[in-house]
Amino acid sequence: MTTGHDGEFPIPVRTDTYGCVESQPWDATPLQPVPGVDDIVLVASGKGGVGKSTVTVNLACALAAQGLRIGVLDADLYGPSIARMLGTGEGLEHDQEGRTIPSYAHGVHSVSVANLMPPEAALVWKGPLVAQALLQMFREVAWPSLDVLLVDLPPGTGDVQLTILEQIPVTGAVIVSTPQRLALLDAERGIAMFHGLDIPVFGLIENMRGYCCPCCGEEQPLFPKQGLEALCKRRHVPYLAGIPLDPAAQQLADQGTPLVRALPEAKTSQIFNHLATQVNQAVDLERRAQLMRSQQQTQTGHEQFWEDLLDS
Amino acid sequence: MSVNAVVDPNMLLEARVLKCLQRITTEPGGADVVSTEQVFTVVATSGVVRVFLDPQYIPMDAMEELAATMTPLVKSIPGVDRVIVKPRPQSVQLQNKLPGITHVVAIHSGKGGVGKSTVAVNLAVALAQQGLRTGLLDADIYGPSCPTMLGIQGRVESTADGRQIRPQQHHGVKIMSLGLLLPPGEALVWRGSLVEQGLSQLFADVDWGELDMLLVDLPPGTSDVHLAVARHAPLDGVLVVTAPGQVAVDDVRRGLEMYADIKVPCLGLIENMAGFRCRQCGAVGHVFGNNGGQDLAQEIGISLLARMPFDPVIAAQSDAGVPLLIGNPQSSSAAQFVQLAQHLNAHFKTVQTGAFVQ
Repeated sequence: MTTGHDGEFPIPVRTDTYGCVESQPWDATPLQPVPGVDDIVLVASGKGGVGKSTVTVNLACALAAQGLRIGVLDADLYGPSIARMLGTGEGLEHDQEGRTIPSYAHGVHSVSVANLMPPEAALVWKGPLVAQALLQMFREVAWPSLDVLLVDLPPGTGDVQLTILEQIPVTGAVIVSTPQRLALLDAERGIAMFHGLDIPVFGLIENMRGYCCPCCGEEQPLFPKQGLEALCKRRHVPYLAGIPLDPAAQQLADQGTPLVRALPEAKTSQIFNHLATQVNQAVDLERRAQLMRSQQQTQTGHEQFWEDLLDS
Repeated sequence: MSVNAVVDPNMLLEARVLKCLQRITTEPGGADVVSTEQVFTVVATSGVVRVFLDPQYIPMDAMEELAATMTPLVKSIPGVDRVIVKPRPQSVQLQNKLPGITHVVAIHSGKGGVGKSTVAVNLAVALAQQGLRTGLLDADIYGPSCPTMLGIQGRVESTADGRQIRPQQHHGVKIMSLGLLLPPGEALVWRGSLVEQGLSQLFADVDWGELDMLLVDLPPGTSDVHLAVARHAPLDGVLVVTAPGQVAVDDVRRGLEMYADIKVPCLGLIENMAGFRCRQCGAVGHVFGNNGGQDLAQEIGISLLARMPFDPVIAAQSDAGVPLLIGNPQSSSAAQFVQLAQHLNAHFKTVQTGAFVQ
């Protein structure tokens, strides 16, 4: 599909994902799973700087605190921030087979491009290189046994997203947005992309909902409210959590300690814990649904159902 | 500089590195890499040493080996924390001039959501208000926000002869964005290969007319898009926007390094979201970190052009589709944009007359 303009238009614009990413039919052979990883959950946003990485890191720590084995893959090759936020240094170790071992901090295993290069090293990632590097991070890293691997995506709908959706079996996605209209528009684009590819969206997380003054505790809006809940209803996506902006969290992130670990009693940490429970449940539900679908019994049951229906 | 002035420690280090590199030769018994000009130059900035090799004198396949030899040697010099060996900066730009456009300035940030588009839109309006013929190209192909900020709806149209696209004009600014080609709520899926072609068209196939200044609002990161812009437009420089947090500053450094490699000068740094004033008690909270931009500017020697606090008024104006300079021209943030525009304007005037040689 090109634009809906009549006649010739000088710049061709594609908006559909179909044809760019193959949408899999329901009975297609599933994509090859990532060794050792049970479920892969994407943390996405349309707009940049809405707090994807902050949410990823804190969600990971909160999930880990609930007893799950958690990994984080920093797929934001252009602006890797996970290493800084988890306080993992440069350099990763290798096992006997020469595979990279993820770094381990705050109960979370993680791999980020920033572990491999200093901040001054500019790496211009061209399309094909992006795909290659990403798949290596998934398949050629010695991930330990993990219940959930969180993937911190870059903003937008570019090569990184397309590669992952094409090549990696994804359980679901959560979308982070700020309350402003600008971010909402982009978030909606993101939801459209996932729904177009039949990937469940576990829900929307509203970040920077307000500013929590460290001095007097007054919570005040940073961005005008533009109906995030309405977007959730419109697109049939659950509203998972509203997270205020906490200056303490920012400082801690710069120092490499996630808020959930440093101040587990803080109000914001409690919100993350609640969020973790919800994500855990959603993953569980999706896992069971997939299991049902893949079972022989269910499949014959379906066939029986259709036969009965057609016969009657 | 007087004779007694303190000698720059970086210069001393550079000299030491050069001396050390004179011990390397590429052919047995041949001249060393410094006197054969295989080493183009050495630049030291607070412990980080960059050795630039000249590809003109080194075969492409020998580059890596030479770098591997140099790195440990340079690293062993006291005072060197990190070594980067790479080819010397080379411009990737394909054409010297875009017809009718005098200056092209890109707005860049490594990290997303630090306010690139806000800066781009308001700077463009400020420049237009100062009498410059200004254009704004929203090259953020995956999250175009300029149309929302300017309150533009609908799509652009092609010119009468159907061969070019007529940019929209708002508040004296000619604007073109991919958002104006897309239906709302739909995602643009441009793979790397399409980016190159699509972007060249945004410069060539848009009827910009005569412009004094074309601002290009880039997407975050260091990707195909950035290279494509540098290839298809003769960039006079980049303005870099950052949030004060370390996470954002890390990304900015990556971006600056990339632009240094392709010989695009950095015109200055803008620290955005520097604190938030509580409406209740007036205490300033450092919502997105503190002083990161200022420290970076000092460390790598570029000028910090502006520090802007987080202003909910700007966010509200952006969502409403009215640029701050139109909707709230009396605010202090608006004044900062006016100053920034004056600075940019003056910068190019001095560059043009040659009165200012850097």
